[in-house]
Amino acid sequence: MPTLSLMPPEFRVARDDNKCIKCLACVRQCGFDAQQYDAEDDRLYAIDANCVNCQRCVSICPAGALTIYKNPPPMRPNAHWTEGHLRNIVKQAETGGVLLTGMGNDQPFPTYFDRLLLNASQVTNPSIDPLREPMELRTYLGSRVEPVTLEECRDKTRTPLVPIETPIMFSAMSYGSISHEAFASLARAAKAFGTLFNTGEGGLPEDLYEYADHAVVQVASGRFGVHAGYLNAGRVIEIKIGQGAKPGIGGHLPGEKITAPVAETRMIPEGTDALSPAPHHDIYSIEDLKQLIFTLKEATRYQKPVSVKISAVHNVAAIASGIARAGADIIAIDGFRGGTGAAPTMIRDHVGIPIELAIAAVDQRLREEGIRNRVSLVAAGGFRSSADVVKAIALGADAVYIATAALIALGCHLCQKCYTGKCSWGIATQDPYRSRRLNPEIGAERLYNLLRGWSHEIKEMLGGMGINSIESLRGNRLHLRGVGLNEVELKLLGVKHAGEAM
Amino acid sequence: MNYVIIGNSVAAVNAVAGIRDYDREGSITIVSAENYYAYGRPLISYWLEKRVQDQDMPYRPQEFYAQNNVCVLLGRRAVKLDPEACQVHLDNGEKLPYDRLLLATGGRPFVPPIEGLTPANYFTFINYDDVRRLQAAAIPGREAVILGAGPTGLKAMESLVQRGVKVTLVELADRLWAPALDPEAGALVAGFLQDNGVNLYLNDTLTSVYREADGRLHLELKSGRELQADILVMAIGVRPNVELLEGLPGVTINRGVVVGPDLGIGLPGIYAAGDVVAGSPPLLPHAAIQGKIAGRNMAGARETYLPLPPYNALGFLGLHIISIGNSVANEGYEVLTEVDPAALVYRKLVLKDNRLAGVLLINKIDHRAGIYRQLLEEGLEVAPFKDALLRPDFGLLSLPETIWRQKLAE
Amino acid sequence: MKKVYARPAYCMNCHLCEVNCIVAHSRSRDLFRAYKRENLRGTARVIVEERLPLSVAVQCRHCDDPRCVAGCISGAMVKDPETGIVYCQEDKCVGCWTCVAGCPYGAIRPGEKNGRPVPLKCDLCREADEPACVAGCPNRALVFEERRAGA
Repeated sequence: MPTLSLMPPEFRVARDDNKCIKCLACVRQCGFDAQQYDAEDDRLYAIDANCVNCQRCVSICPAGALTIYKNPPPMRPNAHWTEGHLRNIVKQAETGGVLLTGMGNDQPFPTYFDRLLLNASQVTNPSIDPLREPMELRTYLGSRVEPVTLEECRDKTRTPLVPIETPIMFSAMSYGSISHEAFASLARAAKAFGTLFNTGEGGLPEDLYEYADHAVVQVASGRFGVHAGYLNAGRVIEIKIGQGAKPGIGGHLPGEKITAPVAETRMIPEGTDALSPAPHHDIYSIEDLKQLIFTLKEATRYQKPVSVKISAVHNVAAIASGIARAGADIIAIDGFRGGTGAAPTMIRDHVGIPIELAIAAVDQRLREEGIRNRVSLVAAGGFRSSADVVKAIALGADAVYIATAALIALGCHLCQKCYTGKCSWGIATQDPYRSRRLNPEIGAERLYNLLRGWSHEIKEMLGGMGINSIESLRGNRLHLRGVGLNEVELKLLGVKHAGEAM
Repeated sequence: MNYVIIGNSVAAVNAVAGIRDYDREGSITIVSAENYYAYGRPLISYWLEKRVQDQDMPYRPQEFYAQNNVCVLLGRRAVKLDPEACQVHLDNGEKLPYDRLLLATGGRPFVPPIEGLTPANYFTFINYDDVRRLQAAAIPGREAVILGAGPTGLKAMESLVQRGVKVTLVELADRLWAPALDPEAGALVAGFLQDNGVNLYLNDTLTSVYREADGRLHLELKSGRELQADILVMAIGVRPNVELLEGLPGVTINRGVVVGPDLGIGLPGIYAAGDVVAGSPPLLPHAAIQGKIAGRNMAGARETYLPLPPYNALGFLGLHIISIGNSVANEGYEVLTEVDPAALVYRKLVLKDNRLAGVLLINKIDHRAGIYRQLLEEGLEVAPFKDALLRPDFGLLSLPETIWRQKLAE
Repeated sequence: MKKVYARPAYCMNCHLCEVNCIVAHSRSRDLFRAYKRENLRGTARVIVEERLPLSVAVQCRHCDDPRCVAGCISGAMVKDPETGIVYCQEDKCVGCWTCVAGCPYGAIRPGEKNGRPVPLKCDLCREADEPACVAGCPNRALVFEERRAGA
């Protein structure tokens, strides 16, 4: 270990001694040992270098005595050699390792949602008041075959459509990467609101099977926790090919997080690393994928729609077309802002494409090929508000997955230290001392509130556009206008520039 | 139903509450030899040192008797019990009929025959009138000798010291409060008292007393020691007040009156509670609990009093002691201790067959004392958490999980 | 009667119940004054016991036949016949600590307030609708509810 640290701490903990009552809540709650107490001197102090700015202490302090400051950058301002680069270089010079991080890409790439604006009705077409008139957010997920012939109605290989009461689902987060408490919060909220949560690749804990009817049960390259009971319990089965935060990369849940209940759920020995290979080793082609899709459908007697989740990458439209033709009922596309419990920083920050462009490209391609009806398109990766959801649906998505927003509702402060397992908020941890901080009763209520608020806002926006059903908005890009976008971007998104008429 | 209670202290008042748990209607009459409504008897030492005033002496608010529809005969003494006629004869000749009777007559100070000892030259220290008398005598600078260094003597000592009286304790045993303190603890406390200016003569007792010409007392001890004093307090012990029962067929007297598990004394409708009960430690919690149970049983309940081990909390001159069960035992027992003589701390747990048999806590008492007492009374096996018993973080959560979960759900 | 029940699965060891208890039992009812002027640190009537990762707030169970009331030498400790709340009339307490030895749960501690002895025990914030520890618990690890019939 180097004896000299080349970098000052990233954050500073400031304590207002006028306010501090020395209740020590900060010391007990800090997940990273930054807050310290010296009993002999009855003195509180901070080890700034340990602070990750998760804000747990700030939130818990009853006296409002704490503030976390960003330390000034250690070198003079340099637009090219930014602080992030400097810190990464120093860390690697010390460790020689791959940089790890958590949550989604935090780099200043453009966010197209912020360059898109919605339409509203004025005079010539009436807007709708969602408080007075019915407004439908129910969305049906799955494959629609048209025209429907009598023969097809009798087709035993058609999977049913799955209704969700709002076009928002909780995205895949595995038990193991998040705590049982966080997982249970998602499951309870999904059931209460009438939408779906996603098990991720870690299986479904036995005690949460009562929520299985609201679960998208994932089958990933590691096949953790996959068994016939699991597949048949879920509402939708999802084959995970890729993840927006780390396209082309597998997963690695370290052995410390494989506690006894996690091991049982994943069906692997306790304390062993859970390695998800980068590819499915039985899928090297669309034909291979088709085999797995129909294997899963056979295993569930065609009662469960099968989703295939991929990262938004350069060739996403063609891949999506292949997935649709392989028999998937749902295609989930995860954009480059999508989160993760752990990913190499370089991958997270530099691989993949924006979800907005991917939605537009996939929707366009499937329409052109006349197979858009065969699949539902679910978009994921960094949805921050109901407006993002509405814009995604107008671009062509049927529904969206949210995960980072859900975790923020549960307390996440985006400190990006999920991979350490020390989450102070009880979310990305298997340490019972930390995880018990997240009471699933409260967690579920907060998630329910988030869904409720967003759904209400979506109704308001729809009403403003004179639309009374979310399905009428899907792919309706005339309701979008771009601002500050160049012609290529406008063309790819399939939207006109603000100021252009219908 | 017609209830009569003889005695008006802790057992009696709790009996009233016990009766009223089941019977809101029946008439209750209390016969009180003292001229006061029930007061916290151990408060007398606090009263003497002026930490408690007259208005704070009552054990229950004045309304207690009215609210519970109790008739109190103050200053009346029961002189005879006629179980055949179900009557109590009072000192004014009145005959009080009863359906249910409670004997809560308590005890009186034991004063052995000593040469020269007359009521005029000693004080007792057990009731309000005792300290009212003592108050006039306890003038700063005077000297007092207290015979007996048990809880009563120690509390008398404290209040006299606080009033500026120079105190000498004379104790027949080889140490202070011998039923509770083992020799090591006794020495610790003795040192504390001496540091506070209290003289202490152990293994000694009073053999004669006489008043000198100047009005002071001249005391001779068994050891030959001679003392001068202005005040002599007799605090050797108490004897149960069982006169009413003497000679009654069907009643067994063994110092106190022997009771059954329902606290009945063997005569129809007659119960006993408090210090008058044979074998019961003369301690306030025990009197209160017995009173409550006896009262309920008088009103028709069928509760059982399981004899409780003694437990006592005693503080004097800032030193606090809690003694539970057999806190003296050493030989033949497993003993865990935490001792810090400089801080006057002595914590001792006595175990027999992995069960708590005694507890002694000096000068470091906290909420854990209650848990120890409960463990001792329940006879819970402590082997699984024995190492934790004296640790600073010992608590409810140190007990087996099923037990603490159940307790927290109560 | 309604009592405070701890739900250990959700107790996160923040000890804010103790803080809220102290404020609720201060003269000022103000966090800063309670700690900095009234010096009430350490006088909580609820104690969070720690066996990490487990922790749980322990407080008076307001027994049907309370030992603390039975043992009280001054009559200061009482059980309110209406509400069932066991509480100490603090100006009557002389600090003998028999109540401390009596409590089966270890829920009474010897304490001091303005130079007077005070048994530190939960009084369910008698005058409030909801005890401060429950109202302020950030994780609903404490609930105030009726769990069985009777007092």
